[in-house]
Amino acid sequence: MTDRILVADDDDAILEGMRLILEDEGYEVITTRTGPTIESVIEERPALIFLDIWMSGLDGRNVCAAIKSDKRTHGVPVILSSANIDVGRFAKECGADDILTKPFELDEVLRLAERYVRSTQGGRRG
Amino acid sequence: MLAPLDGLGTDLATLPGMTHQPPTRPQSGCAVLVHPDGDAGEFSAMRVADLRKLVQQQEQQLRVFDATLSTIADFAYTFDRDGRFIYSNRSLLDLLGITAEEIVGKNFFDLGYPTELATRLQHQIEHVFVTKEHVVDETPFTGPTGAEGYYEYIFRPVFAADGSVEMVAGSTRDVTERRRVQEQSRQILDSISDAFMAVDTDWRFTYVNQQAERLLTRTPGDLLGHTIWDAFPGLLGSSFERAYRRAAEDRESSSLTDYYPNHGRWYEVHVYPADPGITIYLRDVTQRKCLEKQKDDFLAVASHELKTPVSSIKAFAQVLGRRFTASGDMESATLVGKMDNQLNKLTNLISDLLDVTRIESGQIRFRSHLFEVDPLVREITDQIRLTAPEPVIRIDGCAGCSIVADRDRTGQVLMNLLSNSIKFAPVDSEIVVAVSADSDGVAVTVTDSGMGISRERQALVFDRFYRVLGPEPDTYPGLGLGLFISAEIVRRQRGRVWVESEEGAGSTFGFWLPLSGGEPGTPGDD
Repeated sequence: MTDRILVADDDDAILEGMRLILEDEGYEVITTRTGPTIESVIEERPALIFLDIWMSGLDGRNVCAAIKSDKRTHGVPVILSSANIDVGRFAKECGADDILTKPFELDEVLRLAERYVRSTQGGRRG
Repeated sequence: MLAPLDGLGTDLATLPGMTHQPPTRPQSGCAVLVHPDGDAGEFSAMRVADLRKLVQQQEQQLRVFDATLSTIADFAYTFDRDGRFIYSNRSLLDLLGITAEEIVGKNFFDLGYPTELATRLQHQIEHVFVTKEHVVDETPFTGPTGAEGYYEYIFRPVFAADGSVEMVAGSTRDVTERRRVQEQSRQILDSISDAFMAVDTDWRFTYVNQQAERLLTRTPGDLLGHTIWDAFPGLLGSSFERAYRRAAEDRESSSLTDYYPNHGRWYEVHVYPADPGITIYLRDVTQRKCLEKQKDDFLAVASHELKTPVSSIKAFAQVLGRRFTASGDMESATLVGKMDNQLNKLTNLISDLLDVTRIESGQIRFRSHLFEVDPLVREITDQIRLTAPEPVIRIDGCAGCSIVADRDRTGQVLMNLLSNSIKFAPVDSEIVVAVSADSDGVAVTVTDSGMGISRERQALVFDRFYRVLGPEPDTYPGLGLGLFISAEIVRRQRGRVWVESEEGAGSTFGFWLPLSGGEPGTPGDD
């Protein structure tokens, strides 16, 4: 396992902001504007996925449900992120592990990363 | 004056309830009279003197009958088989300006009625003779003296002993004034912009104004006399049906706006109990609903789109803050921290706009669960102290219990009340958050020693977009949404909000929530 985190969002500035926050903390970050596929998740083997709900032409909830229903990827933690107040309900519906409400606090992003990546690996890298 | 009597029996038959057949006048001086019940009795060798006495009695009865009928304003008359007058009371004679002798034996053509009307009346008399059924109708009429009026009349069959129609009796009433009032009402109802319909106790349309005809694209013939359920089957099972039945059965007025799928349109309806039946005012609000939806959609998208750049700016600011802190540049770190605070304010404003949209479109959701009130009060108070260290905020009392409600939304209410008080309280004053519980619920009040609110304005503070005016337009910042949102959040959780204030002596804003305002574990519960 790595400290690699996949961030999926259709907004470049959000991707850059997330990259800065996580890389400053020593995580390896890969980003996608078009949403991850099962194949890309298998190939990249991220330790955690931050997944936006409203991506251009793509519904993050469907992506999450697909990841969670495939036995090769269902173990990868998925955090659903959105500005929608109902993100908690959406997360339950599609089997996401947690939520990140936009606009988010840096500390909240790091808390989630810590919880889902490092607490399961027994230590920090970087 | 009596019309000339053409045979005793004929005139007797004009009396209500009498069905004498015309008697034959025997050459022997005897008459054969047929009793009304059909039993015949023969009077043989009746003396002429007795017969004359009988005739005199009958003529006296007729005079009484005529005098009686001539005291009423309505016209009363009888016709023979050919539609000729046998009798007319004084009122009709006066209208026509003729004598009793002049009218007998004449039909409507002879009396100079307009051809169209005379033909119609003649046909209706014939119709009564043939069908043995009465006719009710109305007509405008101008008498020879120029008196104009509108008349309602009824022609009834007078039956002979053998069941055939012997003559037609009728009466006519001047309904000019009633028509004028009806016409005035109709003009008023037609001139109002709403569609208006009246429905009787059998749910049949009795009146439909022009707007209703246009709106429902029906003619009066399609609706009048038909039941509302036959004319609009889509109403069955709808919220409209429930409102109509409430008005008819429980005598309750109500108003509602709903979508009618059969028309693909939105209607705003006001229903009132009437006597008899109900009245319905209808307005097509489809366009307004479409515009509202466009506005709601726009605000929802705009709020979402505004939050996206705020999210990234916030991320950049926080990364910068951490880097400045790590490099020891605390001054820059503080500046970036202030930037972050402003971004939070911006986020709250966007959230308020989104909340108003949700409240107005009925989409606001509550995730209710059991939570302790006191920790929430402390949490919110601590949170606001971080951004506003002054004035001092003091918590007074405690609830000591838990309630079932949406914790986040309830916290939002307290945050709004506190933010509002801070805005108006002097910096060196104290704001008191008082918490208490009763057997049914929990009350939280926020008291400041600010400028206070006049009695008239107290009624407005929970209205949408209400803002307190200061010396300058922007003296007191805000969109005027916080108290409106708070009030809606509390009301929708079956609680209540209030304000107590006196100008110059501070204000107390409070809310009360029931112990179980929300259903725990409802869909959407986080």
